[in-house]
Amino acid sequence: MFNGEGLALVFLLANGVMFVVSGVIVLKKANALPDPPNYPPASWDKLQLWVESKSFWPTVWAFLILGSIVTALLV
Amino acid sequence: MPEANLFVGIIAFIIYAIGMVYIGAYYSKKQKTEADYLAGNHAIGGNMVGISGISLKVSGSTFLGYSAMGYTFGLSGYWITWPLWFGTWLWARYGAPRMRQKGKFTTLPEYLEHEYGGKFARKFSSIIVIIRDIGWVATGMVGFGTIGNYLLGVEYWLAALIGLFITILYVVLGGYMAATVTNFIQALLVFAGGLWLVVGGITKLGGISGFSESLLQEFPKAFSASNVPLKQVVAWIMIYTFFNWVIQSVILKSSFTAVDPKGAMKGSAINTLLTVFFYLLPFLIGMIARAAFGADIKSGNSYIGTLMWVGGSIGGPLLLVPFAAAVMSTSDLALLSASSNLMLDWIAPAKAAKNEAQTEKQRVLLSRVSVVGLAIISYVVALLLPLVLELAILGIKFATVMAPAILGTIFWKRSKGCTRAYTWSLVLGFFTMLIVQIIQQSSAKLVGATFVYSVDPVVIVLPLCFVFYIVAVLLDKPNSEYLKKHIGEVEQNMI
Repeated sequence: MFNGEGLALVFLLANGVMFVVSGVIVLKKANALPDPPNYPPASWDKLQLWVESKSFWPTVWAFLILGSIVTALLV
Repeated sequence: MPEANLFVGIIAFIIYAIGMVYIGAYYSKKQKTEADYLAGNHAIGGNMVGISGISLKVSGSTFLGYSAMGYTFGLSGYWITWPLWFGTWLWARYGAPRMRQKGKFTTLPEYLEHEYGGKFARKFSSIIVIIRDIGWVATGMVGFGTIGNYLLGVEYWLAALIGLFITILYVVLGGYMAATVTNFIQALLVFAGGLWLVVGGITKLGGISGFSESLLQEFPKAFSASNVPLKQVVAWIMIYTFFNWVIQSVILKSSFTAVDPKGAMKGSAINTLLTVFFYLLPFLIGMIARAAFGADIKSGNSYIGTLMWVGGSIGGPLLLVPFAAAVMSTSDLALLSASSNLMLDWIAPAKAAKNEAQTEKQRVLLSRVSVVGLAIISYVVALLLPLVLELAILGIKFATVMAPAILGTIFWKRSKGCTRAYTWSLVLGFFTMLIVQIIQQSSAKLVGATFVYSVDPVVIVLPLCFVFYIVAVLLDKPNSEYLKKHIGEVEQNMI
């Protein structure tokens, strides 16, 4: 058992914030890197092109929010 | 608990299976070379790498195991995600882009040979990886067998066989690209299914306040951070920090297949972010089960119990599809990973030694055959061995002995080309793990399907492996033959 229950709880919950913040920082760093020549590759099909396009993440977010609302209403 | 509607479950699974096989068939026409089949021609985008990567990390046992953990430990079970996050973050920030920058590799032993040299060490590490992957495919089969038997009343061996058959079908047809795209869809299904259960469960309990009131009534220390002993948290950190990437060769493989270092970094960063949510869902489902059922349900059944309670007789069987997706998405790439190792580390060198030339078409065919062969071995393992989960965990433990060598390629330029240091530290680490495992096993207690140790062998052996590796590299110097071969190769650990 830990000593200092409150401190342990604060540390545990702070991890949640740390997870997201650190992930976003690395993602931003990755996005800042230049694309290679001949990007996107000619071998990509429509699905790959859409998944890597700018409209992909907004669609995912819209789906998640709508899905949650519909589930809460249905149950 | 409502009775599952068998008809709905079967129809939903058939539609899902047809979709997966269709994707396999679609990509089968594009499999021209061995690199196409085993590594998606190293041209997969960052979003696709990240999302498909999370679904191969989250398996059926993740859902069952993490929901049991949420049920048993409450909030403090979430400590386990700390090392899961850290390991993935470390991989995203440093590992994935740097390794991808060094070239187009298909297997971890191939990459390590490129960095250190050493044909024996390549074969040795290849065996570890293949056994580990077979263990994972077998756990997938156990997941199929158990859930098919428990919820739909299908015989265990038959449910496992059906799951395996569909997985083989799309993997054999479409190779790595089909496995990646199906994983992408499977990730969306798994997340949607988990979200349905969490939002539905909390709504049924009367919203967030109703959920926390019911939970505290059943489990007053549910929000305590110290239900898990400190010793356990330390063991989790030691094992799981490396679990995500060093040990799970499939995660490494997914970064090798990225279109460029940027794609590898982006994919792993997305994987880091998704880890937070994907591991939170089963964990919350366990807490919902505790609030809803209290002591009326076993911790191991908290996922299935919540599934039937929220979904009802129709929704419950429908929610089996995301579960099947979680199982398949781990098994498919584990199969391809094992097959890649078999092809590139064993079959291809043997053919080269005999001077037998092979066309790309023959290599693709041979890769397909090896997928089927390894799948059959995994199925036999799943049916014959009683403690398959333990086998998979053992595979992970033995794979940790490769951790120092992998980290060395990323952070320690001095180690490049130190063939003897790499080989000896690997072999020494492996046998130390074997001895400590045997000693600890004798005093371990069998709880459910896994052993609980007084001190986990990894906690003892992993630090020793680092000592072996560091001392060996300091005593060694780069192999002159290796240096001749890699002359002019500039280290580019800049990202």
